[in-house]
Amino acid sequence: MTYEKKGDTLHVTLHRDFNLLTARKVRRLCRDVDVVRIDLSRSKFVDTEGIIVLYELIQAGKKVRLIHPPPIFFEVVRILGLEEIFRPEALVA
Amino acid sequence: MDIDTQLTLKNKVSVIGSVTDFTYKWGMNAGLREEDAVRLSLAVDELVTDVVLFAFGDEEGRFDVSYRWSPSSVEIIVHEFGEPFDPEFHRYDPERALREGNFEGAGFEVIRHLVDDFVFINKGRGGKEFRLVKKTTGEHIAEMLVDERPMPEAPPARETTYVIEPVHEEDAEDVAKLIYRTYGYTYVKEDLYFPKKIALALEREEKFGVITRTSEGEAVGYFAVLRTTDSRIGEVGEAVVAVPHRHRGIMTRMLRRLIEMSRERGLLGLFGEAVTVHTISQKANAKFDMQSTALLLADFPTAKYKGLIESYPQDVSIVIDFLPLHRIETAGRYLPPAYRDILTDLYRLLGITVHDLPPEAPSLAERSEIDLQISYEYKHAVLVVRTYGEDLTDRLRHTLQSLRAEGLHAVYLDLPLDDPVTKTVVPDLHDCGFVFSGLMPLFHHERDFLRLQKVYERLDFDLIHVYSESAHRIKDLIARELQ
Repeated sequence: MTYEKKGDTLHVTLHRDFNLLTARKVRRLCRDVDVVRIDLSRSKFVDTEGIIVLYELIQAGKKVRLIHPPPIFFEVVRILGLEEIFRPEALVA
Repeated sequence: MDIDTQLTLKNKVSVIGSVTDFTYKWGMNAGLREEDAVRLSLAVDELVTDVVLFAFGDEEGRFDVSYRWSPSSVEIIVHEFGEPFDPEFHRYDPERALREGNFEGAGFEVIRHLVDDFVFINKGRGGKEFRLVKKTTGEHIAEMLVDERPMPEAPPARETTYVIEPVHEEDAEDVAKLIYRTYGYTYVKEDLYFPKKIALALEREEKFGVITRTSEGEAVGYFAVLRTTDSRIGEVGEAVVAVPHRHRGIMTRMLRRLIEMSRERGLLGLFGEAVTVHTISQKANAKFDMQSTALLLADFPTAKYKGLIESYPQDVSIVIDFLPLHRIETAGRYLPPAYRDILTDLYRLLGITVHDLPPEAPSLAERSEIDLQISYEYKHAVLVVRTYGEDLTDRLRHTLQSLRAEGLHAVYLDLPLDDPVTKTVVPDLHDCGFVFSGLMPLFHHERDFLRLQKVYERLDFDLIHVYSESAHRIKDLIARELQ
């Protein structure tokens, strides 16, 4: 994972799947920013640990933008019935 | 379906990424489409994450992830000895997640949607097992032959000559066409309608066989041996001759060639699974000197036999017919008294004089080693006892409970005949509801097994048609035990 903080924005690029290990790091890094941009071009999936972190960020009022989320991401969102929070038009950069 | 690969992992967060990456690559190599390989790896990620986080509390622990392959599906088994847990008691609630941010059970909810079967088996002291099954897909031959309907072809000229050759991956499409043109949609082994699955099975050496072509190159016959067990034996499981080319000795010539090829590959025996809806297949096996050694009740639901026996009112039972390829004259085995006579006679049919070894004081391990193979489509399971332990009946009772909850119709239990415990354990297994099934020669790791069975379906024995004298004797014994 690589990341860069500019002002109130954190830009994270994942080099693997968004899983427990990654989710823990993202949670730590996002504490003092308002905008989080996560590049998922290299991730095959975002698991439920990743979904939970994204949920927490959104609930905390942070602006979350996903870049190239894998197709299975919105399949998982549908499975979990979370469409009202994870709306593609609001989430995908 | 034998185990392809097994990983033993520590309950550390760092293993999760590695095991999911491996699963993705393994799934791709196993013939899954890329999106299905992703789904399977995500399902494994969710399961392994749960094991790492919760199964062992704060203790250090290890767990196994096993990978099994067949042409029609892949199966991943996660086995651990952690704290008691049942996913049924941790159901996901989307309202609760949205309202409270409580995502309990979300991982299992995702798993259930991403795989075709998700099975939890509580083995008591034997730990817990989670099984994920994903079916492989491919283009059905009927989609490749859109305008074609199964129909008999013109009869060949009397002087037509045939060439029988080993079948290769490049022949896969011809094999699928031959099956489709000959049987329409009614052939039991559905994998044979998918050229990709045939090619993959040949590539992985899960089967080998012969193809018969006319001198013009038309494929008119196919016969294969499948490596369906974890032993050096093969199942004579796929055979077809185009209707216009029947009664010309093609099947016999192909089988002779297959026996030669089986010997060249070091196989010790061949077996066939013959349905008991009629006796046609059993008679054909008998013609090739195969001997009936077991009767498996309710081996598969009648729906699997579509088009042929739609009116058959019960699950289909099968006879195991066996042909030894490597002769041995005598053998010592621990024969349970209840089955000593019939097992002795079944061995004699295979050309083996068996000596009933005297009982020995049992030396039991703390834990039994029992392999479990579930056939989800056929709705049966096979439990193979590798090593007897003190927990045998406890393990079996827990496992049977879990399997019953999964809706299986029959459970077969294989007991090694070279282990002295087999001689004395049968009465306890009768108490668990098992009855005789037969002798499974060389069926696991080149060892002979006594097969018992427990059937959850009601069966009318008058509808189970057997041919050979030994099959009749086995059937009569089972009927008596079930009374």
